Amino acid sequence: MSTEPLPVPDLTVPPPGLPRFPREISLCITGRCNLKCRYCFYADEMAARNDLPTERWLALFAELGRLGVQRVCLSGGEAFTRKDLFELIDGIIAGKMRYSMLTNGTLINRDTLAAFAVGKRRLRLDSIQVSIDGSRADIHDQSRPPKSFDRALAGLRLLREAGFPVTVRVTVNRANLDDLPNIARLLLEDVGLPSFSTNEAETMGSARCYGDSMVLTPAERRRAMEILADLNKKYDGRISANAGPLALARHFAEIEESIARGERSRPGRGKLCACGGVFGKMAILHDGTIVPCDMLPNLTMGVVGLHSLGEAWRSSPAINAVRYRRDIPLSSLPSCRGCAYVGFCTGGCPASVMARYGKLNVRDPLVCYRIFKGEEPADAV
Amino acid sequence: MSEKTYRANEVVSCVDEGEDGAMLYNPDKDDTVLLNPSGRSIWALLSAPRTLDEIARHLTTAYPDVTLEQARQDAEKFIQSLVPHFVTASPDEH
Repeated sequence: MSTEPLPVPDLTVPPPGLPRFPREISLCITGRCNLKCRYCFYADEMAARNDLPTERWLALFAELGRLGVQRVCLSGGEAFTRKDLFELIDGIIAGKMRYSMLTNGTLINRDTLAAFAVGKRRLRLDSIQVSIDGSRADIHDQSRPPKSFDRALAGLRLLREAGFPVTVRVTVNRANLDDLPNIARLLLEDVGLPSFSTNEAETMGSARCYGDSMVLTPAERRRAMEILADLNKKYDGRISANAGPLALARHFAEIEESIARGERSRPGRGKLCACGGVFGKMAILHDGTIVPCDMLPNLTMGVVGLHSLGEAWRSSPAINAVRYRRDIPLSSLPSCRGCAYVGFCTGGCPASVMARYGKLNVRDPLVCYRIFKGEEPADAV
Repeated sequence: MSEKTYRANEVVSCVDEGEDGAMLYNPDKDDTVLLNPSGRSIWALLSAPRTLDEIARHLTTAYPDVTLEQARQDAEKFIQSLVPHFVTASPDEH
């Protein structure tokens, strides 16, 4: 038998240094939502799956606490559509964990605030993020129908005035591109938030149906980068982004600065290493499916109640395939061969390429500096 | 007056980290601390109220080369590093 190393990693073996279990877990506690957002990555086939019942979630929270999870992020669907939401939150508290929430904000009212005041629900809440996509109803409601702007803004104001740790996410799309300065004014000046974060609509979930009206064209993305970079200067860095046009503007600016200094690469770049999330987090969907990330719903690692969570975390090929991307040099990919910028690149989000191409080990053209510079056609894969 | 006793704060979770010891987490304070294996063995003792002398005697049993006086000093230093987020004192000293 050959002793030559295999050309592929053993995906049942985790990479060295992996924690025994993640400290954070994303939990999509429901597939139901009262809105029909036109770029929701969690829509599409996800709505056909059933929600886990209350007792299953409570048993899961107890197990997560025993395994050393310190914080969970609750999303959906819309978390506030669950009638047992506060029972679930109390289960998280009993499991000795903290929590954060992602919400469309439309179901938050004074009764909701009163419910948060019970026990340690407020003490253990790290943050509650409301999605706002426009400064006016006619803009916000284009991406987040039906008619949600007034209720979302009312929910946001209630949380802010009551001193909750509220944050806002703006998802940049074709409908709100020109409204970004007004959105910044609304959130930072009128509502008085210390900051807000941005991302962009991508071709996944319901955007597969509505993509033409939602997903930015390359020219619009370039404009969004300029607008957000200017706004961030105006507001002293109070706009943040881990992905999307503002993050991309920062990334490309760093590349240009490195090139100006005569550098040919940067530490930790040059491989498909963009996603660090899978080394410290995983996600559980509303039907109990364990996945590396809620944006990778088809990479099944196991099912709650059927499979060991610890085993899934360490030994599932589905998550290890994402982790071992970081060992793949970009220069080995046909799309990146000969690129002068691979030494600065990380290849982009695995969920984006999975949604677009059904493959993990390809680069994301949205984050490609060579395409941005016009040195490669924008439709190149 | 009765001697002060110490016990694990009931809100704190303890997760075994193998050879590294154990991780304590207080979710109310969002505070963590990593215990080495001897710290982990003291933590196990604190499921019930203990005096510093009781903890020191436990240490001298586990480490026979350590004197009772030294063990008491080590126990006090260890406990004080965990009060109040991870260990509660009775009567309360905070």
